Amino acid sequence: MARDRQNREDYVRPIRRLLVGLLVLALMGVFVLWRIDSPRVERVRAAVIDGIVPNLTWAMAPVTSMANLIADFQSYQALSEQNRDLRRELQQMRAWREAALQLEQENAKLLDLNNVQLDPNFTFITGVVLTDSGSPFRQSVLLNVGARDGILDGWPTMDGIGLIGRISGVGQNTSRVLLLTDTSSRIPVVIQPSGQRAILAGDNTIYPPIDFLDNPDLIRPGDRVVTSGDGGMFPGDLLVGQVALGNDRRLRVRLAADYERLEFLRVLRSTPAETITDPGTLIIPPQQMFGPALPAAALANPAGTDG
Amino acid sequence: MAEIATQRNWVGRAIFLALAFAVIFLQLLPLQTMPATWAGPDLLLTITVVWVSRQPDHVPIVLVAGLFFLVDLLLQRPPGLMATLVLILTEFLRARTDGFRSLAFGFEWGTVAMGIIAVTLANRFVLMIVMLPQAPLGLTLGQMVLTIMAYPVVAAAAFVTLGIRRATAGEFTTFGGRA
Repeated sequence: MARDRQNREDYVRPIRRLLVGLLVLALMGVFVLWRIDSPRVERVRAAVIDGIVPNLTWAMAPVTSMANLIADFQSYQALSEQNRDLRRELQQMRAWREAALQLEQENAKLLDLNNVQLDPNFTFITGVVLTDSGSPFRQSVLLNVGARDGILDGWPTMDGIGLIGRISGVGQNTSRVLLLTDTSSRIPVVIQPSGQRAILAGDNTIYPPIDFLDNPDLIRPGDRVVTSGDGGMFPGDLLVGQVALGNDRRLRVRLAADYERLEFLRVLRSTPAETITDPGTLIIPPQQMFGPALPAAALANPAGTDG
Repeated sequence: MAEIATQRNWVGRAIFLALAFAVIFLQLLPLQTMPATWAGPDLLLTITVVWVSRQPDHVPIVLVAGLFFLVDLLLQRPPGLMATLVLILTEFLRARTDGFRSLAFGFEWGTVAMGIIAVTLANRFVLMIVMLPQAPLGLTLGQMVLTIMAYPVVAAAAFVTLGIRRATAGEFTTFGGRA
């Protein structure tokens, strides 16, 4: 038997080495291919996730709700404290509500005066969060709506109040939302009272920093941050959050959306921006003569003398 | 005797695969939507290195490659990179299984720790070379340390619950190193 084994190893070992080499080559090949031609491999990734994750929902839903139940139960301990805070907050909110009602009336009046038509294409699809990214280094969630529901890459996603992220990766039945907090998320924003444009760059913290700011002196904590719509792939004027000063003296954004519990998200159908294909006709006005037209008599008799 | 060993290997492989899928499943649950301030241990990597250093026959190389490639896809990592590094790490450990058997646990733990550090650094290095965005360094190092710390815990748990121990000298290995 010992000789058997010896023989066995003699031919198994080179084959095994070859297998290891081939596997390493194949895996590195996929990595290099992904680096060169990312969309193609990402489509494969979306298809794989699409095939696996929806099948797990039956198991995930009860486990998730059980975990949330335990978390809720723990929070009961802090209930009385929370209650007191809420009362105080309610007091403040009453004052705000009064202000909001007045502003709403004023706003309605002004809209009426201006005869404003809000964009009719601005509808949304609501999806349920299936999974998170599963890793502390990536910030994204998977929704249960996909290409079947007409979702397209790049559409913005919101919870009831503020921007959450954008669609990045669509499968047949699922789509991935890249959250604003992910390290690869970059969103053009405008900071409201001063109208300064900047980029909101996620850095894997709950307060993403503001990048490429022209004049930080004009910004102060508490300013509203909304999307600017620059670049044309993202609609403007979606609420993102408020400016806050981080511990590192950097300007950061306190996000308006509640990242604590992402459950139902709205995917906004954003219509693609109009592309300008023919710059000539747009910029140069049609050829026409300025000034008063020549009198007909002068045209008929150009050489004639005036009476 | 060989048949019994083979059968035991298949059962062991099924157990490992079930455990791996349970870990992936728990990681994917939508409970953590806030960016974390610290990262827990990479449990899948830990159980893989525990199994490779203790029962290499239960974790065939194709299984490791397939599993980690799938996880790369599922967890939004660069596909193939981590799978390659883990594959190399498991091959490195597999070749040293015999040594682990005769030496103290501290030696085994040290080797595994060096392997995990090498994988983490190599991963960051490759990402740096191809100019991909990186996770914060503190988070990565924290996860690396916790993964190393988790090794004895997982090894003990695997021994107590599943009887995964260092293969003894007489045991028949089909696809591992020399017995």
